[in-house]
Amino acid sequence: MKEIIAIIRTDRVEPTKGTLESIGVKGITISHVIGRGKQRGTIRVPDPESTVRREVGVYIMQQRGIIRDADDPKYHVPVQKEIDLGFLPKKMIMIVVNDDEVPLVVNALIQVNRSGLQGDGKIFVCPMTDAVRIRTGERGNKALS
Amino acid sequence: MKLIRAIIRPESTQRVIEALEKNSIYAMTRMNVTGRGKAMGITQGPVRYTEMPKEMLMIVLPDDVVTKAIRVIETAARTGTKDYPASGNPGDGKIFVTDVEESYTIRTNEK
Repeated sequence: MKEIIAIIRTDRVEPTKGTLESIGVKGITISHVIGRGKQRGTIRVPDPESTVRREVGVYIMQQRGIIRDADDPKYHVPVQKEIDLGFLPKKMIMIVVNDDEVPLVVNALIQVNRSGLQGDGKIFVCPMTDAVRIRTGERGNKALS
Repeated sequence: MKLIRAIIRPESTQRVIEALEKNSIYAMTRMNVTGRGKAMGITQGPVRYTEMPKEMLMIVLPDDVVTKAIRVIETAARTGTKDYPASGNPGDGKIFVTDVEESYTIRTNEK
């Protein structure tokens, strides 16, 4: 048995639940957590106050008449500014599955939650030694099925 | 890789995070939990509190940093009396370390 811990965006929980249901994973535990990653909870947004002169594509824009003179606001592009948000809200999903289902579940989780932007989350696969169904007292793989 | 789960006092969380930042450990997940330990909660006069609010930090680290991280969390989370600032009190918390076999970054599909 393996325990899969996935830390994902809060707005991707519903699609993730749908996908897990479609591949036959029924038991999941979801909890609200806050966290941060390698970037320490920073996001990059355009800063309207500081701008930098556009370097690339100026000649073509002048040719086409998009930029008229040097004071044209299109001549300047905003600088990306980093904002430190600290800990960001995330959702943590815990799933316990049999060993042979691990690649299937991990690939499904990656496919649903991937947007290519920072903050998509992490997936950890940990060993799990035993499981007990409390209602019947079944142990091991029987408790999962 | 190892997964460190540290259950600490909510008021010492900020101190622990700052201590980890000084040792360049930034990535972590926090959650509010309630629990009790060996002392089975605390008794204040006639009232018995069986569950105390705690904060759980989850950190996944490569094997060679784990010992250092545990020591950092331990020293930062330990409270004490006025005369002995690092003597420790019941309720300072626990640190659990478990194995992680694989980890994936969802954005880049890296293993």
